[in-house]
Amino acid sequence: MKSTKSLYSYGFLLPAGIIFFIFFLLPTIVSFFFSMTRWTLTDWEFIGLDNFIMFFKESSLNIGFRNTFIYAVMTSGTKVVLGLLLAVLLTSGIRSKDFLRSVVFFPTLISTIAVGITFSYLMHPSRGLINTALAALGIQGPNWLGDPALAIYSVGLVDIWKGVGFATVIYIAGMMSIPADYYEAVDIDGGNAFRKFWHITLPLIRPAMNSVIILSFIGGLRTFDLVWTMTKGGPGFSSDLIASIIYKQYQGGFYGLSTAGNVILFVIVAVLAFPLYRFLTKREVDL
Amino acid sequence: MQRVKSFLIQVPLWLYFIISVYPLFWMISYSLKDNNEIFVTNPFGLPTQFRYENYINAWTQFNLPQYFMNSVVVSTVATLFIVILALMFSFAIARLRWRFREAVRLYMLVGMFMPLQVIMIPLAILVKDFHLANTYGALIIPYIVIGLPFSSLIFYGFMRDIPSEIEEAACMDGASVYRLFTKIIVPVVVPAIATVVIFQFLNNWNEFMLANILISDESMKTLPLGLLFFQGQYSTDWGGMGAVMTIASLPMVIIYLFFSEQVERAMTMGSAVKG
Repeated sequence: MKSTKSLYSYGFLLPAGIIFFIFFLLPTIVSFFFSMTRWTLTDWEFIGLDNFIMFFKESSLNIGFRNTFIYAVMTSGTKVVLGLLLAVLLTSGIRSKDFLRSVVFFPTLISTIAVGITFSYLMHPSRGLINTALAALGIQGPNWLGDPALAIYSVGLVDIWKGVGFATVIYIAGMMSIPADYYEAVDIDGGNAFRKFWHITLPLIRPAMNSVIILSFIGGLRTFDLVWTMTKGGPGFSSDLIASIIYKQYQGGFYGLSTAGNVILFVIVAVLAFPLYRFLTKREVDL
Repeated sequence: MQRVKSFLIQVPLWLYFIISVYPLFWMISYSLKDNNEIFVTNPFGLPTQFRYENYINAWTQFNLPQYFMNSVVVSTVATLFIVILALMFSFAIARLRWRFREAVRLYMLVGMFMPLQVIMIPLAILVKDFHLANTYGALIIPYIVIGLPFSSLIFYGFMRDIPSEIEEAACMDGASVYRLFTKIIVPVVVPAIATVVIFQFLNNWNEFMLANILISDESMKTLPLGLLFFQGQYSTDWGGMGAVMTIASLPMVIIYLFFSEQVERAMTMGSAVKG
């Protein structure tokens, strides 16, 4: 009996397991090897850690670390806070909340490429809507995507615009699953809205908050589409992220170097995100 | 007092509403304008005259129908397989008892934390070796693989919470494992399936990076590739560009409206977001 049961398990498991192995784990392992080579796809030469050293030394490459970190922290931090705020407002029993709830999610649905193109127009320094509106208020708007000191933050703002709805939906789901009598208990004790939020909502939406933190942080670390559509890493290399640098090296035919960048990105995600995941999930309060 | 409070809640919400909707409104409205109206006479409001011909031009002059078709095929097939394979996989690790299931669960979880870029170049070679280059398979198979970890995690969360009494009752009646799977487990997780369908279809529909590397053949390109191509190629026809972007975005909005009730139910059940 026992052996037939495990036979069944393998039948259910293998299709996903095998395809995942061939097209995900195998390429990953292969990547680790080729990151230590000079690689032309048909031929390779083992060069040890040279690619990695180059990635850390070359300023047009290592700027990606700084930018990626800024980008990931900025976008995920804002989504965590702003998403929570919106979710609280949207569950507060006001009129038209159903309508607003579905609207909040819309930006998430639009193709990243379309969002990137649209916002490049909106952020145009002289003709764009944003600066035109600022000018109407008597403010001289900045060159959002053309100023090297600003470009990465401008792209980050668009990322937040697009992603905060997703965070909000996860928060709302977490809040809806909190039983109403928990709040009634606070009412009986004479607590106010702030006490409800602080002592009930906040601890009990920890799982939802953890999902938001992890998903948006990893999402930020591996962003490519948006920055590629809006700035291509420019001006200069000022808004290059690790992912866009990797892609540029790939385009240039530096496959070994590009793969080394991939491995570095993997290690960064593993070193930052995995412990974060463990740390956060340990502190969850069970309902 | 109540009035003031309600006002304090409504104002930031409507402000946020304007910020999140206006860029979309703007995109759709300029897809119905000509260049003169977009730049000079009326950049920010509703079109004075609705120029539907932008849509007709976009559809007939560009290669848009082909891109659209490719996106539909790739996204639909990949999503279908993701749902089936992930359901089976999570069933095996959540409901069947066997030795290595915890290890196998972690094996899949790795995919959640792996940046896609890591597999980019080897995947391109692999696709070529399997003679998948410039076929639908070149995108469908990688998309399935990328979708599996997240979907399995969601299904796993749901299946784990199904009371085992239901299963035992079915087994008493002599149901086989397959019957248990198709008749008991799958129907219970329908809200989770809706969630997975939305998110995976969304990911597949909008995926750009891998498609950009794996597809070079014009007739195999998907919409995100097409969008970037149009932007470079037809940068003077802004209305047409807006029409293309609106056409590319519309199907996701429709699918979302169609499934959103199920998704809200699934997420409220908690498991989906607990992971």
